[in-house]
Amino acid sequence: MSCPRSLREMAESTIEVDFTGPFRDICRCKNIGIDVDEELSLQKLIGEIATKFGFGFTERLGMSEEGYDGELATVIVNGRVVRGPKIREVVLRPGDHVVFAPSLAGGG
Amino acid sequence: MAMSDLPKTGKMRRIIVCDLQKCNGCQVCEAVCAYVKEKNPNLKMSRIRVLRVEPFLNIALACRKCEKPTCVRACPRDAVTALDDGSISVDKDKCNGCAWCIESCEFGVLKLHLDKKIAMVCDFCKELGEPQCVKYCPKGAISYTTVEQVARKSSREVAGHFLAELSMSS
Amino acid sequence: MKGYAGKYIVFDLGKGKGRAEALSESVAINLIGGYGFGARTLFDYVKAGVEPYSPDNVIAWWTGPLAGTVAPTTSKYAVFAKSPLTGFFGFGISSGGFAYELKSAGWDGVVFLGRSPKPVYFFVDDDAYGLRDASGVWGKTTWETEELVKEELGDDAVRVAAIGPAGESMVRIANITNDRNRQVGRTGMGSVMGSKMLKAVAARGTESVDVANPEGLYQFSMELNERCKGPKTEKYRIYGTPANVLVHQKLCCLPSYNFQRGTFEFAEEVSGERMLRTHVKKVIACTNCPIACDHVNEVRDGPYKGTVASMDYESLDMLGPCCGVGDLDSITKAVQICDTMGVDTISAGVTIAWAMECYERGILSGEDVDGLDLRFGNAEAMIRALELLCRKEGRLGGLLAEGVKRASDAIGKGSEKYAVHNKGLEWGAYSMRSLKTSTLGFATSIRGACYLRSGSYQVDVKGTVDRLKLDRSRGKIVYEGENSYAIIDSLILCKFIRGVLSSGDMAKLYTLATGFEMNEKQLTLAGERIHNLAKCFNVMHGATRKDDYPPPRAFEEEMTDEGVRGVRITREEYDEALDGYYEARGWTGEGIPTKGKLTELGLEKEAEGLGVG
Repeated sequence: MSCPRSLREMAESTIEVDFTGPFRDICRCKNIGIDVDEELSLQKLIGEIATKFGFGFTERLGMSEEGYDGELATVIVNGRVVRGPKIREVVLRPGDHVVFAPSLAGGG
Repeated sequence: MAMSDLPKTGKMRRIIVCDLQKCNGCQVCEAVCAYVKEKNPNLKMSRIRVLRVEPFLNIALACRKCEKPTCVRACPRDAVTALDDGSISVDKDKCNGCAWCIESCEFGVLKLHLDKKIAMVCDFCKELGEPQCVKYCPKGAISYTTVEQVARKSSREVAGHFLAELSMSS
Repeated sequence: MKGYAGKYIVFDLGKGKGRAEALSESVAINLIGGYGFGARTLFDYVKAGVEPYSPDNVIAWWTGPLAGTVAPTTSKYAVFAKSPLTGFFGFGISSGGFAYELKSAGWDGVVFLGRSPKPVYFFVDDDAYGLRDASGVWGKTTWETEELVKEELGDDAVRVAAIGPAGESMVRIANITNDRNRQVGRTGMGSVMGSKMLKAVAARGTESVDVANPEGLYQFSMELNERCKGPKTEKYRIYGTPANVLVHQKLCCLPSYNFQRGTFEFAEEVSGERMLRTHVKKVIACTNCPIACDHVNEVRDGPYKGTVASMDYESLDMLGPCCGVGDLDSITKAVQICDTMGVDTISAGVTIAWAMECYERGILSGEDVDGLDLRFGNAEAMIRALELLCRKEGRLGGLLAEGVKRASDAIGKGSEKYAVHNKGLEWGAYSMRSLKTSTLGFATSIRGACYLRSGSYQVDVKGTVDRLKLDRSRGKIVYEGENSYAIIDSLILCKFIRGVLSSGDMAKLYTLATGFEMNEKQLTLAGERIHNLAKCFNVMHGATRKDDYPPPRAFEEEMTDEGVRGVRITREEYDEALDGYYEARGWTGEGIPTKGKLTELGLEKEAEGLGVG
C-alpha cells in the first residue's frame, strides 16, 4: 500500500473542471476533479463527461467535425479561451483547469 | 392533426386553455390570430386576448364555449348563435355592431372588428384544422383541450408531489 | 409605402403644434429606418454648438420598417438627441410594446423640436396627436406615470414611455422607461426630455401595417419563431444575460471594484445561476417575441422583501461587483430604484463605484459624500447614494447626477484617473484590459463606451483572437461588426435573434415587408452608410481621434487577478489597432471620414457640409 499522497500531490495530479450555466444543469454539479497520472486530451475529457452525465453535454457544446460551436459555448483552459476548431488539439496535464461555460449573452 | 381527425370528446368540449405558468405575455398568439383571420397583424384584431397584470401575471383568453352563452342571449337580432360543438358563430349580415354581446361576455373574449364594426369571436380555426395560436405559441402555453384534461394534469402534479413526499418519509 | 408608415410627425413643443411629413423613398432605402433615420434627423437638425439642454436640441423617436408587422422581435423604437453626457450622438433603443403601437397608429416616428413652457405629455391616437397637461404626473415615478396616463386616457391598452423624477430634474444620466421593464437606457435621453418638459409619449394604434408580401412575411416569420426555439437562443431564455457573470469571472473579465479587478470574490452569490434559483419569479417577453429574455426578480425576504425588478447582466454587474456589492437583494433594490426614478443603471453603478474608490482613497471626504460610509461593498450606502443621485439631493447627489466624467472634472485631485468612461459615457460590464478587441469597439463607438454597437467582444471570448493583445487587424473586426449592427439597429431587430438570422435573411425580411429589392451586399453598404452619417454628426460636433481612447485605467494600471496578472493596454498596441480601424473605415488618421469615402456612400452633401477633404 502506497503512502497517502499530500494534498499538494493530489492537486497536482488532478484536472479541475468547472461548469457554469446549462452545463451545471446537465452535469448536476459545479465542478469535478479528474485524477490523471499523465496527459489527457480535451476531447477525451469531453467524452468521459458525456459518458458520465449524458450526451446532452456534447450536444450543448455543439460538438461536430469542426470542433465545438463558439456561438453556443465557451471552453476555457487555464484562463485561455479555446477556439472552436482547436478543441481537438488541446492536451491537458495534471494541474490544468478547464471551464465549460455558455457563450456570452451580449446586451441586456 | 386536422379537426376531422381529432377524436370526438363525447360530452366534453375542447376550448383554448392557456397555462398561467408558461404564458409570458409575448402576444405571438395575437399576431398569428390577427393575420390568419383578418390578414393583418394589428393585435387588436385578434380573437385571442393576452392580458398582463403587472408584474408577473400573463394569460391568453379566448371563447369558453359556455353552456348558456350570454352573448347569444344578449343579441337583439339573433345574429349570434351557438353551434353544436358549443362554439359561437356571428352572422355578418345580421350583426350591426351594437356590441351588446361583447359587453355581456363575462370573459371579455368577443371583440368588435375595427373596420367592419361587427362582432367577432374565436372559432377555433375550424377551416384550418387546428387553432393556429396553439400551433405557434412559442412556449407551448396554449392548448386546445378539455377542462377535464386540465384538471387531471393538476391532480397528477399534486399526486406526484404527495407520492414523492410519502416515499421520502417511509 | 409598404412596411413603413410612409409618414412621421414633426412637433414643436414650444408652439404646441405639429405637422405630418412624408417619408421619402430614397431616405427609406438608403437609411433603412431606426438608427439610420435618427442619424439623418440629428445631422439635419442639430448643428454644431447647440447645447443639449437648449430648445435647439431635438429629441426624435424612430421605428423601423418591420415594427408593427408579424416579424418577430421587431417591436423596437429608438430615441435620438445630442447627448448631454457626451456632447455627441446620443441614442438608445427600447422594446416592449411601444413601437408596435406607434407604428400601428400609422407613424414611422415623431421628431420633437423646441421646449414646452410647462409639463406635458404627447399622445398619438391613430392619426390624431397632441399635447396633454402633465401636471398630474409630474413628479411621479415611471411606473406610476404609466398607470396614471392609462387611467386618464381611459384605456389600459395604451402604451406609455415616460421619464421619472430624475429626468424631470435633468439628472444627466436619466433614461426613458416604457412598458415598465424596458428602457432607452443610455446617453441621458431622459434628461433631454426633462429639459423639454416632456414627461411622456403615449400611443394607441388601430391601423394595420401594410406589407408588400403578407403571406411570405408570415411564413418566414413563423420559420424564424421556430428557429428561436433552438440552442442559439437558449442562453437568453433560461438564465438570461446574468449567465455572463460566471463566464466573465472565469475569464477575469468581470468588472469589479470600479474596474480595478476582473474577478469578484462573491461572483457565485450574484451569478445568474444563483439568481434563477433564488430570485427570478418570472421570465416575461416583449410584444411579438418568441424568445422571452426578461428575467424579473422578486426579493423573497429581508429588508427589501417584495422588491420587484427586471434584471440583466449589465445592471447586475454595475450595481453589484463594480460597487463591490455581493448581495442580490440589494442589487435588485438598486435596479428598481433606477427603473422607477428613471436613471440608467450602468451609468449610475459606474459613477457610484468611482465615488467609492475616491472615498476609499481619501479624494472624497466624508462631507463630500454627505456622511455616508461609501466604501466598496457597503450595499446600504450604495443604495442611499443612488437615492440621492436620483433626486439630485445633497452634495453627493448633485455630484453623482452629473455622470462620472463631470463628477470627476468637478472634484479634480486626480480623480479623473478613476473615472471609467469614453466620451463621457460610462463603461459597460466588459473588462477594459482583458478583452482588448472589446475595448477597441467600446472606445470607437459613436455614442461613447458601448458594446452594443459592434459586438466586438465576441471575438475575444470565442478565442478567435488573442484577447490579451491588440494588433492592427482588430480594426477590421470592429468595422464589420459596426456595419452589421447598424443594420440590426435600423431595421430594428432585437440583437438576441441575430444567432438565427443571417444578413441574407435580414435583407429578405426587408424586401418582404417593403417590397424594395435589397440584397445582403446592399444592406451591408447601408450599414456602413448609416454608421458614417452618425460619425459625420460627431465630427460636426468636434469629435476627433482623441475621443476614441479608453480611460487612463486601461493604460496605466496592471491587472492583478491570477491568470491575467500584469495585463494592461499599451499605448502602442492601442494606437496600432486604432490606426487599423480608421484604415478599415477609410477615414483619416485623425478618425475623420474622407470626402472619397463619404461620396462612395452617397453622402457627398454631408462631406461638403463638413468641409472634409
